[in-house]
Amino acid sequence: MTRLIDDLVDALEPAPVRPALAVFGAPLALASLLPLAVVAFVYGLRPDMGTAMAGPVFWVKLAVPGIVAAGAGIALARLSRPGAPPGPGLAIAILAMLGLLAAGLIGLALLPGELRVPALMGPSLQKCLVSISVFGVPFLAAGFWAMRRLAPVQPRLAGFALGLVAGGLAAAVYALSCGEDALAFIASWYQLGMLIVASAGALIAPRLLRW
Amino acid sequence: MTGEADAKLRALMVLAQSGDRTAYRSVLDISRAQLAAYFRYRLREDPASADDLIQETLIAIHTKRASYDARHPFMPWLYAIARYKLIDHYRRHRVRRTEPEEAAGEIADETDDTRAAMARLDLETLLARLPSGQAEAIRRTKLDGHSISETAAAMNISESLVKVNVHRGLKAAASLVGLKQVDRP
Repeated sequence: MTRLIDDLVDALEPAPVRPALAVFGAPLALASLLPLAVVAFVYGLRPDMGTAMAGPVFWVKLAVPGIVAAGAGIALARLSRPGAPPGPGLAIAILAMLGLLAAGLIGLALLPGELRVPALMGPSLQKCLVSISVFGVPFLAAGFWAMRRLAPVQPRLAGFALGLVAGGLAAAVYALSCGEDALAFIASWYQLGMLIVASAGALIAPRLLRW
Repeated sequence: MTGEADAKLRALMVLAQSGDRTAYRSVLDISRAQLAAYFRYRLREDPASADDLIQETLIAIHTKRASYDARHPFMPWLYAIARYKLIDHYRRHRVRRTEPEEAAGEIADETDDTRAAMARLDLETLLARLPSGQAEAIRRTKLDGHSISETAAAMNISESLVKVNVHRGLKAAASLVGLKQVDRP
């Protein structure tokens, strides 16, 4: 045992503490290039961008995933360090999602009956779900790569938080191209897409984050 | 552990993170004493595993030393790592308890017990059950035939840590396949 401590002391090199934003920021930014390129060159930005930007829904589509990603990011920073108190991050993310869900339901209730189903089942439903899930992959990969250098002691929860960050970022990028403007659509399918990515994160985290 | 004592450890750990070996040795010595009490109490029936876990946790403190943030107290960081290692141990132990028993009947039928056990041993499956640092050190030094110094450079860790990882990993692997049971018929 003393021998081990001697070895470890010999092996000591400075190990500066880097804030979570520094650890995750660059890899996630790099990862965003892929989905951004798909939106820019394959899907194209939504053609009615000018009018959309004047209305509130376009901004909700950016803000809610953004808040979810930020809240989950705060949780992720805590979950990457042993013994740090969990903090309010996940609660913020979940409240934002529940808030949007409530707004979507109210919006649906206020519509005349025959318009409810078309509002919910927009034409790009499938594309939305697939895109958000697939856009989440590079964010997940970059996040896991970064997190392996930290020390998550609750890998499943850390993977879920990372998945929410990835799903939130993926949804925000997809919103730049998506032409759906019903809150009920955003509340259901955007959020389902984000949850798919978060579940994937929670599912694979224990394998990837062993140390 | 009082707040004052934790504050002292916190300061020592910050020095250690900047490369101060004397401070680092104090951190490890104090941690070792804390971990010894923690694991020996929880694994009263299994003092050998308790000792293994003390060592594994000390190595984890070393490899993950940058994950300590001095804005938070030191002891919760140490115990969170210890607890993580304990849970990991329980998980691996559960696997070990069931598998050799199922295999025991088949192995008894073979003429050469050891060879039969070796034939069953899927090396990669076994390595996958070790902590990744240990598995990688073993893979590079023992399977791919790289030297200690090449491995240290490739893994970006010191040579002594490579040796520690290989040693710890082989020991853990041996206990995973129940090698002791094969040695003593």
